[in-house]
Amino acid sequence: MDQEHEQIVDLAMNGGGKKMDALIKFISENLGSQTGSEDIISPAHMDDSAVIELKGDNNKIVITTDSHTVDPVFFTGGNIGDLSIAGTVNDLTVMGAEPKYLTIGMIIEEGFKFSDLSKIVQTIGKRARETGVRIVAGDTKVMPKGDLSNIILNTAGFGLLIREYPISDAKTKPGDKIILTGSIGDHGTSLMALREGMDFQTDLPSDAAPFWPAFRDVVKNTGIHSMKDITRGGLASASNEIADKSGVCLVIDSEEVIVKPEANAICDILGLEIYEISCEGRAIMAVDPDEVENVIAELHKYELSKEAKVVGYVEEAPKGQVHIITDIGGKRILDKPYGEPIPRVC
Amino acid sequence: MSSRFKDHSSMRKGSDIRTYAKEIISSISEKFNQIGRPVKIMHVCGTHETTVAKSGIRSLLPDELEIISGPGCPVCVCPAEHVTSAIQLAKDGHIIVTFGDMFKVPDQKLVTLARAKSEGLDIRIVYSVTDALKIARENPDRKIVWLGIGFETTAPMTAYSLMNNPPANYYVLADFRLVPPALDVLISDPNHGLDGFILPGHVSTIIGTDPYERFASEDKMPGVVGGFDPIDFLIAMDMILQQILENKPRVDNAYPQVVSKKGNQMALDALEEVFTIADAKWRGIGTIPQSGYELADKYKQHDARSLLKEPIVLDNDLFKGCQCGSVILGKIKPQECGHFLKRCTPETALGPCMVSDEGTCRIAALYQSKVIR
Repeated sequence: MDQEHEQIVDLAMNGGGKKMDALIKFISENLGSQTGSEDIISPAHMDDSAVIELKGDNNKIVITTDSHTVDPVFFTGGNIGDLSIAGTVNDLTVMGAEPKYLTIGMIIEEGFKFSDLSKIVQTIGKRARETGVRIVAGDTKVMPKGDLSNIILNTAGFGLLIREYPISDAKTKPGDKIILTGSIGDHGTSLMALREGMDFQTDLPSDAAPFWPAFRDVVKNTGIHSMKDITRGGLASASNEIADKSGVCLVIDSEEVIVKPEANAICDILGLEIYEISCEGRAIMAVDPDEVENVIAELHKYELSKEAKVVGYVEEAPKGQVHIITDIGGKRILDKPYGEPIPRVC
Repeated sequence: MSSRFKDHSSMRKGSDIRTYAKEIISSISEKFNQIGRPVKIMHVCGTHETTVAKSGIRSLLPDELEIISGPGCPVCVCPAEHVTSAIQLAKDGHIIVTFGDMFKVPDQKLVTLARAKSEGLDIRIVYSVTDALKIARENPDRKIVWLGIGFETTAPMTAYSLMNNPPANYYVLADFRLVPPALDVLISDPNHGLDGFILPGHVSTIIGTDPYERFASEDKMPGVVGGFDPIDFLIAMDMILQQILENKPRVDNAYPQVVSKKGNQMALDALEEVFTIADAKWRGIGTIPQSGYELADKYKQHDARSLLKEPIVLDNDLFKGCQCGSVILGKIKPQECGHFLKRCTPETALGPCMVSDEGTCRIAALYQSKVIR
């Protein structure tokens, strides 16, 4: 496609004809050849579906899907393309699966700039390559201006289980230690700082990052009883889901949880609870106390999780609750958030 | 001095807040043991309740040393008529301008400004009264109604707006309330069972500590003005137990950085200039003598009530079964209301105490809904 000034996506590209083919070619090229490699697009020819052949004994398939909207589309430390890979890859990884294949659906608002589209697609290509996943199928739709905000991506992921049993939200046991792989709330607060009408001077980057391959070895540790990527609803949602599904009480010590000063300040100003703010590259784990040291040592090998630490422990009761030990040493409930603190964080 | 933890700001520097809190709590517990009977302390400030609940202060204190939340949430005590009147004024074609916290407050029929707005009425949320004035200037052919609610803390801002030549199309629906008359109502109940008041730091910034002296001298109620971080609040608790222990009720100031004896004279002058004090209705409680600010004659041309064809008066200002009135007076805990976390949740609030960030029910739902006291 010719790169004229401010090329934009137009509705005719939704028509199933040559203009659509050109859009798809543009996306494929930006995913692959323009970033120096076509290896991630496979099979390389366009057909109606991808055909994947499974080899070996490793035959437990793990599948997930995730849709991504974000405002703004480009943020400090990444763009919606990073989220589309990280979200799906992380969902597979925390199950104990090796992410293998992705499909991508793109719903694009009429008038979206090709220059922005190429940046997003190149990011997807780069992240896919880093993660070692192949993009095996894709789809585009263009919708009239105003029917959606900029662009929506959907990625479905297909992985293979690399341990005997998947890591379940429901297997946390009393006595387990709670590990967080890094600071919380970076992604959500970073976005809020950029939103219209909020004039914060901060360079706080989003934490958006895929867990694979950094967590390749750690997820094989059977001492990990539960593991979740922390996304919408932040630590509050992720911890409550584990407590609820496992029928245990998670106790989290606020003094141990890492919160960056900028993130804390933004939450203070906006009256938000840092525990409810989203992350896109952090996990919570419940780990057998005997394996805690090994798990932490493995996590510390990687930049992504070099601050991983124990932040709490698991008690038998009251079942289904999360308690926070406050800065003065008191205890209070950490509940699942009601609604969203601010809409459309991810 | 009534507490050895007076200068908390200097002690906190570099020291471990948890260790420091432990020291204060052990002092509190020691005094409580010496008193040797159950003790009930009431605060009258929504921000205090947030501090207490969010930092888990109740979980650190002896069971029989109770902290009760009193009438400290201005949105909660604002009469339902305020919402009904605002919506009527919007229906009459006027622009309604409000702080965000009134937006979701339901009237007795669960109608909210938010719903009225979604039905097409012109209701706008702003961050300060200055924005309301700006909207008035930008819309000279419309009448702008500013929803003036709050305690002594927020009333001065509206007073200033009226004193500084506001546009003729700027109107105020005034439902400001005064804190000390509410304390009179609490004390006048012979069964109040209260041993002391933690007095509101923000309100006291404006009115000073003098208006509380009569509660100590005449009613023998200990009082301490408290600040808003958990350590400030614990120090206020320590000071009030000291008064109970000595049986010498007085007004102590545990928030001296910002609260003085006489208050903020400039703000007090503005209140006196713009408002007269009148009997006023408190939601779920009823009329409290001399407890509200209404516009003085000199400013009546800005009174939004004069725009109503007839005054709106409601007999019943709460939804059926809503016990916000009893919660506000500290007579019951939110958990004792039949609607709490059943029909009434932060997402489906039936009463104002579940809507406002300073509402006792909402705070209980968010931070101590299930087991923690």
